[in-house]
Amino acid sequence: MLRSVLRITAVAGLIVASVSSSACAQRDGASGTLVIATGADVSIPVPGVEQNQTNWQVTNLLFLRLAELGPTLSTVGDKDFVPMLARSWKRRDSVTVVFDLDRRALWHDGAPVTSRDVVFTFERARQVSDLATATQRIASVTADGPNRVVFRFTHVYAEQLYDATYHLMIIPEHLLARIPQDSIASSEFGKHPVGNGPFRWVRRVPDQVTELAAFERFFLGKPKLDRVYFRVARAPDARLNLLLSGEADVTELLSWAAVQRLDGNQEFSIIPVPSPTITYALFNQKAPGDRTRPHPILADVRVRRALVLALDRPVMLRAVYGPYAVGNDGPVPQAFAWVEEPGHNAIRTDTSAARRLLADAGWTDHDGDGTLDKDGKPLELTINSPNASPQRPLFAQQMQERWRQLGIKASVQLLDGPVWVQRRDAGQFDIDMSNANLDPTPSGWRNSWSCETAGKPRQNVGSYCDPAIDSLLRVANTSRDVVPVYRQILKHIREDAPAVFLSAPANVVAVHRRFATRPLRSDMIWLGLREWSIAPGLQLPRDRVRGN
Amino acid sequence: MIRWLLLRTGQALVTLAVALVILFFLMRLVPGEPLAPGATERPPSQEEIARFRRRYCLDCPLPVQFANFVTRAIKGDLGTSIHYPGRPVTQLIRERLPWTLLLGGTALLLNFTVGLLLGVWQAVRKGTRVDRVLSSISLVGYAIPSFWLGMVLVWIFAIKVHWLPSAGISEPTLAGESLLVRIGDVARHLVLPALTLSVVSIAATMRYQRNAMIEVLRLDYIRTARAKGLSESIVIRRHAWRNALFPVLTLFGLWLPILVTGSVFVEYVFAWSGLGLLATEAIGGRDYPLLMGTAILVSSMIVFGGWLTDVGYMVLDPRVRHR
Amino acid sequence: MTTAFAPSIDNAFSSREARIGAFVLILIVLLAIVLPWVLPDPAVQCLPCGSLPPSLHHPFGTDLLGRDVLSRVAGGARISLSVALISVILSVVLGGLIGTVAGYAGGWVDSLIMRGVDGALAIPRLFVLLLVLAMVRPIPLWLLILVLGTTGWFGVSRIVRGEALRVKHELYVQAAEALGARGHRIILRHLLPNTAGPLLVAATLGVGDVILLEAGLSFLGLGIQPPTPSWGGMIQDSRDYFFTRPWTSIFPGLAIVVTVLAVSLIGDAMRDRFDPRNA
Repeated sequence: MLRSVLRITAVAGLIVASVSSSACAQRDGASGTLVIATGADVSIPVPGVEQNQTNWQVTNLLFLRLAELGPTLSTVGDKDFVPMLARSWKRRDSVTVVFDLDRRALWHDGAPVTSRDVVFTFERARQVSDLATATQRIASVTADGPNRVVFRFTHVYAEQLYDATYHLMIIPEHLLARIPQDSIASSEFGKHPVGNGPFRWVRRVPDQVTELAAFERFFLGKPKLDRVYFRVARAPDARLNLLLSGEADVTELLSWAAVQRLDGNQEFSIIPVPSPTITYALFNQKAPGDRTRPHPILADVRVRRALVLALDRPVMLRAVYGPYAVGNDGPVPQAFAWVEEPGHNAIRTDTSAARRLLADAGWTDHDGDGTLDKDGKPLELTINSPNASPQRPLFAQQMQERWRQLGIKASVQLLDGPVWVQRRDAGQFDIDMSNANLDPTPSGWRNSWSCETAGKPRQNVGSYCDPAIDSLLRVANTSRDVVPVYRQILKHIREDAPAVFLSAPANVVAVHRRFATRPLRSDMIWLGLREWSIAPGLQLPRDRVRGN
Repeated sequence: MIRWLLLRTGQALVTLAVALVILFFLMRLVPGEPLAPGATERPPSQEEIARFRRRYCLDCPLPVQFANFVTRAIKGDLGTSIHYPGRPVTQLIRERLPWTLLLGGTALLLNFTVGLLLGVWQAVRKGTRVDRVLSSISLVGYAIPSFWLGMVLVWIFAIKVHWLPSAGISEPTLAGESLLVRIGDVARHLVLPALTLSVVSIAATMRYQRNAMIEVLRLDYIRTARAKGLSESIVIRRHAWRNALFPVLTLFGLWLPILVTGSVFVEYVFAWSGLGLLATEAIGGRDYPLLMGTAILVSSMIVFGGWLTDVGYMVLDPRVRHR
Repeated sequence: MTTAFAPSIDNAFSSREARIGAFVLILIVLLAIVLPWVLPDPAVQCLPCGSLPPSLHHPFGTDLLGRDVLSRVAGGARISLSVALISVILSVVLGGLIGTVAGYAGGWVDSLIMRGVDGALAIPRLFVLLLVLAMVRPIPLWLLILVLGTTGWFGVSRIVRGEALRVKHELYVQAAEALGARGHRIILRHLLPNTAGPLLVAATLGVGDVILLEAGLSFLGLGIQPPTPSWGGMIQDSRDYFFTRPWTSIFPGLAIVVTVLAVSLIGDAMRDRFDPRNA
């Protein structure tokens, strides 16, 4: 009986299915629809307002910068950049750059993009703490006529053009001048943003979908896709289901398990993209919850090194990521692996050396209970990990097991996102399973590994401080040949072992084969979307659907 | 009859008041300080917690607190969400409630039509193998975790054969299509979650209908009907089932809590944006106002459902009316 | 004084379904007790032997980290069964006491308690759990049991109260009262034995409910914290592998189905015996 019920409903479903697909086929004229399955909802896609990943991706389709990083993603010098809102730029002197705007550039409401918008954007960036920090080396931005802007920098350094472009997506003065920065989120503009990018805002159904459409008058040419949908599915397997059932075309951040499920599927290509992400287990230098005292166990560099040496990291990361990650020995993601010396491979596993280091530091099993101890105290540590991450709990459990073999008692605490962040920010942890999306430049290391930011929430939460690194960072800040300096910093970090650097994973993307894609950029995966297209013969019914 | 109605209504109000008192004391367990500043899944800020405590007057004397809580609940003012910054809880609930009602209603319909038929069949074949096997099968349905069943159904119907969508309420690319197409689209999305929800809950309906029917079949008038020489199928269809249906109506009241609970898991698996999913999202963001609002609404629905059942029962069943 | 009780138990197990249920349940309990002694530690990992399909060495296969799935299912059985058992005992004791008091005392005490029960029944148990979980997470095991126990007694108390009312008016109690027996003595000697039957039914069915609820919470990531194995948690952990390595979620899923089914078969059969109308 149950089976016959199933059959009846399935047949009903089929009838409905055929109705809807025949209705689609009647429409014609458009050339492509892309449905992106994404894990987080879009909130307020306005530069400088919200930072979550999907929101940032949509913001990047709606708003342009003056220039973009070139294919190498190098942030150093002036050459490797690609014109966007700025048609060209030239140097007046070593601290002044002049940008000429593209006169054809328009806002989605039809108004032209002018130098006043750029000046306004910089003024607003000053009011947003993240952006203010990121652009602190820009002294001033002034308009010189409607289509020319002049950037002045505080001093000579290698990444001036990067600072002037990367963090400043230009926002419309004529629409935002009267809305204070902190009420943008609740304003009409926050609900229907007006940008200058290749795609314009259509609508958003909270927790379901956000729809964008091609901006017909985009000055660099109308995008070949007509519609882009960001479809929300929180669980990773639900996103994959959307792909496999034909409801979505693309998804990113695939786990290894997901890639295995797509194995042998002819409809999708798997593209590993070098990502700006690193995964690491951060040691707290200070006592949990009390940043005035050193950590009773982890303040000792010998213990930290022993903990690192005990782990066969290449094996561990294979269990988690399969072939889709590389080992790193320092805060180096795949996106700027250029900073590592070519051929460098410092990942070392040596359990006997680890035992020796621990013994040197006074940790031996005096009472014979299987756990190392010192002055009557056992070597016990807690590893905090967010429970929602598919990878980090796996790493944590592997670390736990390996350290146990050395006589170290580690317990894993899986916490909800908010609680995990709270403990992390408050320094209430021994070891924190961290995951960072870095800016495409090593200069961002200042945030996580300098004395200046020690103990600051969201930055250097492990209170790691080595004055030598700070002075090297200062050298890098004013140097034109920064790469050797960065390599020295890496060497210091390796010796100090402030964390176990576990992996630099790739961002694994699955794309339906009917799309002709462009190379995906590691830090902004959908940035090249305006050049994606579908060959006419490969179109699905939904590619011909015109939305409202 | 009027007197009975008043009495029953009064009783419902008392029940609701008691439920509110319980929720009120649960709410007072909310800690006084923010739990987690600045996360990706945005947790409440100091200010929001303070607003929550002010709104429910958590620092006032107890009776004032309670009066405040009740008046606001009655006025339908449930505060502002934390997880969805700036959105009033009532508005969020209003957006999501229709979808839960649609899912629950469809599941209920499926459950009742199939469950009642099977229950009658069991009663007629009481004690036979069919009866026992059907009972066992319905219990298997109850024993399957709904989330697990949902995952299996998605695998079969959405991924192996592309008959039905895997998740969500509607296909976003069809937004520009005609109303008919969009209704059909929602119907397709509805099939799997509704099926899951009814499979895991059909056992109770079958059992109830079976027992009610067995009882009716024992009554004198059925014996008379049989003695008159009417065929067994006519006896059952014309005489017995009609009367066995009334007691089953009471099931409706029992059903609401089960549907609400079931929908939390089913909505999660199918990303069906209803109240249940709203509640699980509220958990992630420690959204006390939203959770409290959902709980108040659900409790009121259950009390109202019980009242409606009794009243409906009375209107429909002449035996009760004249008592 | 257990005269009303003993024969009913006999009757309950006269049905074949109930006997099968009881047999399976006893088997599960035995396995849950014995298996963890003989099997590998459910926490021990072995990366080279990760994601192995079922074999002689690992009858249920291994998970991603090379942990033996059978060990974890057995470990999960211990947790699930003890959570269910302890919380249901708590519910039954609470419900039994409160119901007896209400039924025996009658009058305003009775109305007060029963109105409270009505109100509590209007709040779905899951929502109470969600509210508590929003405040305390990760939830310690004892608190989970406590919350499950204190939210499960309302229905029980109604049943017991009804029985208590009936028994109270039966002649022999009135006779005992006339003989000067004191209140608690009457409750202990006369009321409780007579309500034991329906109580047992409620308890049995309650065990199934709690197992499902706990699995659901763990599936949502809100219940028992890993690395402690739990059935719902295992299904959630292997969501991504549901299709490529089905053994990691099929076996915990089957464990839930079989256990809850066994419990329900027993409960159902007992209900039929205790409620003569259904027979």
